[in-house]
Amino acid sequence: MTTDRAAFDRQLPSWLAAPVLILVASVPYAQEVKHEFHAQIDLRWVATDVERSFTDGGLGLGRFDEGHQDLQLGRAFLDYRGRLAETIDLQVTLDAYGDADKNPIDVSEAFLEWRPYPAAGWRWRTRLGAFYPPISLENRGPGWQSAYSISSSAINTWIAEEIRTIGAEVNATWLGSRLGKTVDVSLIAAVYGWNDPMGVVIFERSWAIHDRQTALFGHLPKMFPQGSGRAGLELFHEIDDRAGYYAGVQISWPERVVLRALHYDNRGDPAAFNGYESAWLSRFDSAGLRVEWPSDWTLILQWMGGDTGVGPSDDGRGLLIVDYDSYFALLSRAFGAHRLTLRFDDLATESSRGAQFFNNYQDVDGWTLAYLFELDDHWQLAAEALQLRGELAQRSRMGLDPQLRERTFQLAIRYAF
Amino acid sequence: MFKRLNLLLWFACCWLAAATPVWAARIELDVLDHEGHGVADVVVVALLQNATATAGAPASRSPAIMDQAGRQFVPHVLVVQTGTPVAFPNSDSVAHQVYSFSAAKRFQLSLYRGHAHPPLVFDQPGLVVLGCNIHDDMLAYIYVTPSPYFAKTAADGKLVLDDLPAGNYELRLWNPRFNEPQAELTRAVRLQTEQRLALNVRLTRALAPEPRPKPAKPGWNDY
Repeated sequence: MTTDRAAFDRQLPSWLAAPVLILVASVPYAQEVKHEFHAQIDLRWVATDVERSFTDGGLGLGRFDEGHQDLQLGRAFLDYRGRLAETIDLQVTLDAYGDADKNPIDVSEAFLEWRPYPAAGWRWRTRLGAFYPPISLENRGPGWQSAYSISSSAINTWIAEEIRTIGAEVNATWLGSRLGKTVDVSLIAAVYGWNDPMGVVIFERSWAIHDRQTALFGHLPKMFPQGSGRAGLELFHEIDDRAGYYAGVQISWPERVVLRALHYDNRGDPAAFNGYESAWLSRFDSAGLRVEWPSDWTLILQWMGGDTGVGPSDDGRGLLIVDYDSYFALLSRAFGAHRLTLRFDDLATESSRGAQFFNNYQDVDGWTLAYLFELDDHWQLAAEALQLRGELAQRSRMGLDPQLRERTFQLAIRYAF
Repeated sequence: MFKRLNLLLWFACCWLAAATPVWAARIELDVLDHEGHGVADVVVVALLQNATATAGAPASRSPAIMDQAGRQFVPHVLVVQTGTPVAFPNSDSVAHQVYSFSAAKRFQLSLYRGHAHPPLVFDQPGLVVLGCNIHDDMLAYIYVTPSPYFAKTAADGKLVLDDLPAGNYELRLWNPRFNEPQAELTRAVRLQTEQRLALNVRLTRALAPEPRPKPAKPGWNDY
C-alpha cells in the first residue's frame, strides 16, 4: 500500500507537467501568440559568519555560510510568459542556484492563467498548475523576486521553501474602482495536492531569511538524520490523498493600498507515510498590508501564524506539533533609480506537543538593510546587510550554543535580458 | 463695381467673424483646495440652461485620444462632448485590454498593441471609468458632456472658458480626487454679453491623494 503510494506520488508531478508541455509544444502553431522572456543572472559576493547553513545540512538560517562565501551564483532564472489565446496565459519559471540541489536547472512555477473579460463589474481569474499562493506582498518581480531587497522576509522565505499551490485557484474580483467606488474586492479559493511534506523544514529548522526558492523537483538537505532512503527533503509530494485548500480575501485601492487575509490548511494526515516522507498537517492564517505613498514610500506589514504536526495521534493533529508565528515591517523609499529598504522580522516557533522528543524553540529578531540601484534596463546592483539574533533551541542537539547571531553581507550584480 | 462690393462684403464678414468674441462672455475660474492651493485637472463644464435642443452637436469629429503609455492611461481624465469619437492607441510594448462597465459607454477592446481598434463614439453623457484587464492599476476617466463649453484646469488650478453666448449657465466641476459631499460641484451663473466673470471655487474637504505614477516594470506580477 505504501509502496503503491510512493510510486503514485512520483508520477503525479510529471502527469501535471504533461498538459503544460503539450501547450508549450503547440505554441509555435497558435496564431498571434505573444512570448515574453525575462532572464536574469545574479552574481554575488558574500561575507558571512553563518557557521553551517541549512543548505549544507546545518541549522544556519542564512543561505550562505563560512564554507560558501566570497563569489557565489546568486541565481539564474528564466521567466517565460506566453499568451496562448486571447484570455489564456502560460507562465513558466526555470531556476538554477548553483548549489548541491538534485537538478542543476529546475522549475519553480508553471501554470496556466485563464482571465476572461470582465463583465458586469466582476472579473474571474483561474490558475491551474504549480504557483505561489497570493500571500507575499514583497515578491512582485519576475521569477517571484523581491522588489525591495535581496532576501525575502521570514514569512515569504518560508513560502518559497515549502509552499507551492499544485492545483487550481479561482479569484473573483469585484472591480468597484471601475464602478465609481473606491476599492476592488477579491475572493480567492484554491484546492491543491502534492504539498504534504510541507512543515518539515519549519519544524526542524524554524524560520529563516534568504532568497532561495525550492524547485518543484528539487530538494533541501536533511538537517537531522532520518530513516528515509532519499538524499534530501522533497516537499512536493502527495502522500495521504487528501486535498488541501486555502481561502482568502483581498481589498485593494488601486495604485495605493492592498489588504489581504488568507486561511491555509493542507489537510494533511499526520499518520500517513509513503516510505520516504511523512504527511504533515499544516495550517496557518496570514494577513498583510501594503501602502504605497505618491512620494515613493512603501510600507509593508505581514503576519502569519499557525501550526504543523506529524505522527499518529488520537485527535489526528499529530504526535509532534510546532506552533509558528512571524511578522515583519518593511519601509522602503525609491529615489529615482535607487531604492533603500529597512525591514524588521520577528521569528518565533515553539513545540506545543512532543517537546520531550524534539524541542523546537525559536525567538529571533532579524534586521535587513538593502540598497538596490537600477543602472539601466539590464543591469542592477544590490547590496544587503542582514543580522539575525536570538535563540534557537534545536542548535543544542548539534552541540551548538542555542544563542544565535548571524550576520551576512551580500553584494549582487544582476544582468537581466 | 461688383468686385469692390464683393471685397466690401468679404471685409464685413471678416469683421463679423473676428468681432464675435467681443459680444461673447468669458469665465475665468480658479479652483482651490481647502487650503487655498490650485487644483489641476478639474473638469469644468458650462451647461447653457434653456438651450434649444439642436444646440450642442459637436462641431469637430476629429477623435480625442486616450493613450496608454508606461502602463498608464494618458491623460488620467479626458473630457469630451457627446458624439465625439475617442481613439485608444497603445504606445506600450506590452498588450492591453481596455474595458468599461459604465452605463454611459460599455465596451471591451480585445487584447492589442498599437492602433488595432478604430475610435469609439461616446454618444451618451455621463462618466466612463476605464480599466485594463491585464493591469489592474490602470485606471482613467472619460467625462462625456452634452455641452460644447468645457475645459480642464491647468496645474495652477486656473481655467478660462471663452466665447460663451450670453445666458443662464450651470457650471459643473468634477475630479476623481474630490471628497465633497456631492460627486460634482455646481454653480449657477448668469452671463451678460461681453461679460468677463472671475470666479473662485473652493473645496471644503481635503482631496484624495494623487494617483501614484506607475513604474513601467514589465514582468511584475499582480499576485
